[in-house]
Amino acid sequence: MSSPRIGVFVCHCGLNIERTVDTLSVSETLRQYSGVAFVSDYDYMCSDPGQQLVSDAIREHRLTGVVIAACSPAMHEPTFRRAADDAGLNPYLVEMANIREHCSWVHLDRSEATAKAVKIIKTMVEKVRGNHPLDPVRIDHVDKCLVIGAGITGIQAALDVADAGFEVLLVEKEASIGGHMAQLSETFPTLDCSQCILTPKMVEASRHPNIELMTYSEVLNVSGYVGNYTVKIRKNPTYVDPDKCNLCGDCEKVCPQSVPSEFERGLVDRKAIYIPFQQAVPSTYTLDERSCLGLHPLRCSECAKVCEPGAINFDMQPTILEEEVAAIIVATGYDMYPIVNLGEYGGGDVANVIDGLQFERMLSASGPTGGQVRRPSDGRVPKRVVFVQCAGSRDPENHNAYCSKICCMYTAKHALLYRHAVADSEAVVFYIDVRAGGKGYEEFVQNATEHEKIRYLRGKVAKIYQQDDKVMVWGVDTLSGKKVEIEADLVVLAMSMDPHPSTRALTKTLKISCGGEGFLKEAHPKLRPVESLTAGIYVAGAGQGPKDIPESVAQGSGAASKAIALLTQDKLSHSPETVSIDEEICGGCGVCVGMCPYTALSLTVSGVAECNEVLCEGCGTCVSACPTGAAQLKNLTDFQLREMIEVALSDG
Amino acid sequence: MAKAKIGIYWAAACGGCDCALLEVNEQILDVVAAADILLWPCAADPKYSDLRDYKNGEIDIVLFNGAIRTQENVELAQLIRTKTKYLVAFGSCAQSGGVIGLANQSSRNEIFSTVFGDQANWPQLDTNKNGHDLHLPEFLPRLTHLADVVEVDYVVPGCPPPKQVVSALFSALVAGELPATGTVFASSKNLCEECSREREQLKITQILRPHENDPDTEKCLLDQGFMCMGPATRGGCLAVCPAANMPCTGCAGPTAAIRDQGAAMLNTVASLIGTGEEGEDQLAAEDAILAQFDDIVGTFYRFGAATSIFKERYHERNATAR
Repeated sequence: MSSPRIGVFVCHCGLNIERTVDTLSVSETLRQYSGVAFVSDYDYMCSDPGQQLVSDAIREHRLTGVVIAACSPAMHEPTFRRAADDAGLNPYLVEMANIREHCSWVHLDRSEATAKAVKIIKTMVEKVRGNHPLDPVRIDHVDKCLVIGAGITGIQAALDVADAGFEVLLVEKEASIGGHMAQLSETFPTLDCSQCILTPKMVEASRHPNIELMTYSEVLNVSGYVGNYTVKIRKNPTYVDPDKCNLCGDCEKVCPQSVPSEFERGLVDRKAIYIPFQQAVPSTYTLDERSCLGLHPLRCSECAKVCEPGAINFDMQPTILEEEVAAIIVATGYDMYPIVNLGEYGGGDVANVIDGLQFERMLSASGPTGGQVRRPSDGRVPKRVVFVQCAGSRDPENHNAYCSKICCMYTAKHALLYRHAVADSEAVVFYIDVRAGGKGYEEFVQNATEHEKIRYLRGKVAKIYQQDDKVMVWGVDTLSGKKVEIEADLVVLAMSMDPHPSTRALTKTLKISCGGEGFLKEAHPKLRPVESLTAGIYVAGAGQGPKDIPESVAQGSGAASKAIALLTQDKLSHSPETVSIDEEICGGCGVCVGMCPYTALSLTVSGVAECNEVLCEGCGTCVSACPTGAAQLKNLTDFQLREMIEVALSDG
Repeated sequence: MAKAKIGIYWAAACGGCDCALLEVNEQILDVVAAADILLWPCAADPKYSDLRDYKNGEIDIVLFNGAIRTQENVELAQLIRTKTKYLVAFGSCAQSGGVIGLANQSSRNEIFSTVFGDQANWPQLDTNKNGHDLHLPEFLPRLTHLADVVEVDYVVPGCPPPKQVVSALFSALVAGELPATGTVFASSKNLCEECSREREQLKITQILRPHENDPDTEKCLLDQGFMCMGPATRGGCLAVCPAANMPCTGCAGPTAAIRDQGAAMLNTVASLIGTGEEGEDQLAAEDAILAQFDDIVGTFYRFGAATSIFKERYHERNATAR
């Protein structure tokens, strides 16, 4: 092989680098370094003229490798690899030497930073010296998208992907789609009816020719890789044939079993055979196996006896569906932080201490009270209601550390709707501070405090307990510094938002990750908010973190557009910077196989490890575990690393 | 065709490698028929002058066993290098310092104190007894291996080199068909390839030493918690130790792609250790497993301490005294 001719391009990044790194001196030093055939520096290497400089030098000086000494590879590696490709140099012979984030930004001393920059660049010159030209891995893909969770986020995502002309499989665990939004009364800050704006979307999702809806279903298993995931979904038996059910409701009337209604948040009971709510989609009854007396005529078959169309079938079995999908959108949503966790606020003990969603059901015209606010204990109309914000939020010692983001707004809405609903009523809100960032939000809260005579007390509530038929609220008004003791008829806790309890198990199935609080983790909090770290799997909605409806819908659409961008590609490409196995060295101990988080590795019949480079994300876990050195990352071999370390630790 | 001229030499060695030469049984007769043995201190009684008298390159091949412990070892290695066409690092000590490389964990003073007791009894480099000057070779501050002092052409690994490996060398020798220099007379793959045990990909949940439990004879020793060095060790011995229900100790050294055998195996073991659970307690649980190690250097660097990246223990207090 002829000797390497490596080009080094030193970026000033305006003053970002130049302020602490003497780029001229760096360039001079690198010019003397073995293997370096060309050195140049420039104000903004990423600008068009900067890229041109690189392309021209590649052609003119017949460069065999390029080191761009500039920012992090996460920023501009694709930029320069493309420029090199245009100039006829294999893009994988281009590397970034990060002299900004790793050097100029974190140092003050110019001479030390300059010396360090030289080292960083020399290290990358050594890497490039050992690099080989690589070609991207090309993959065929199927044309279908899986959306998990059919709350407003999942529905929006499914509709967007379906409207783009691709098939969507929309899977929902509950008996109806709609999610929590279907439970809400009116939405802040415009006070439009939640169901009125949601149900058209639910209907559209159920009727869309490109959407296959699977309710009462769960994702069991996911294997494969971007463009070619194989998903296994179990449809649980509803014991009611939706095509035959005519919604007469006779079954419900005769069913002897009552359990607290999930949809009504336990404010009332439902029967074992039930329809979650009037506008449920699919519009059919569901027989809940867990609360039914026994799915057998010998035990009870009252419902089946009265069902005229004969829709009830006790022998219905779960069905397992296996589908190939190219992309997966995870929109698992949230659940309320359990009210029983707030014992200090009487959660679970005091009947007239309820959570925000229960209050939503009370305010809802379709709710158990027909939109009237009534105390759960005796059905009386409460004259004084205390609303407690940050219940279970922003309390790292006892509860969730994070802010649940929507509670300030929905509490203001609750107080306002309550004041409208009940004459001579008094609404008191305890708050730590009011966070009303959003279009029209601050104005909404201002209106609530100024015109609706809602009393806002800044301070935390210490204790809530039952006294006679009142609920006593002890707290502190930190503005006046006085202790406050309020005798309330009803207390509404603005509970924290938790990730849905199913989230963690699902992330294991999908091999994506959760953050510390259990919310779905995005690939980058700012620049890749709807992508997971696994290619082809996207996250959206309140499952990713507390958020309100507009944000959830925007994320749903965002995730959909990512999926569409993938689906519209003719073939997918995958980075070739994967692991290779040297079959001459591998003895088949199999240590790597168990290590791979992407199941890319397996043992062949001939007893050596094999890497499926389509699955391999190049993380290198197997490389460090491999005891023989047979597993090596392409263009980042142990040999290259040693050369790099040697230069990094040398005196020169 | 003229008979080949071979030599066998030992430096800091136990003698096991010389015995191993005879393990090939009657094949040794073919060797003697095809070659004259010019040098074999274990069997004959050659003097330095005998060796010096050979012309440069006169000997065809020398099998050199033992580590480089003293200045005399260095000088003889250098002298032999000039006299022979091919030099073979024979056995673990010549290859990588061997078991005695573990001495690099102690300073020379510590070794002398342990062996000779009082400093008054320590050997002196130059003494005069009864009117005679006596010069002893220097005990080097650090034990090293053959390739550290002279160029080595072939490696025959093992402690001692197993029969089939020695036999392969002799066959090549007798046939006059030595392979390209740099060849290691062993498998290019790790020991697992030759081992018949079944690996179930288990997490290592406990660390066991061979005497602490009776290993299952069918299952992978590592899966059972016995620190078998097989994954980080070249095959070639047909996995005789695991076959005898003993974990591999790593005597054949690492594969060609590994710089530091002990580090490679430590990486592997670190990857495999775990309780299978996740969460905050996981690290503490893993630490508890790691705490069960009795002798990490002796386990993972039994034959490679002298050639490890770490080289020797850092002796802070008596760094200057050494």
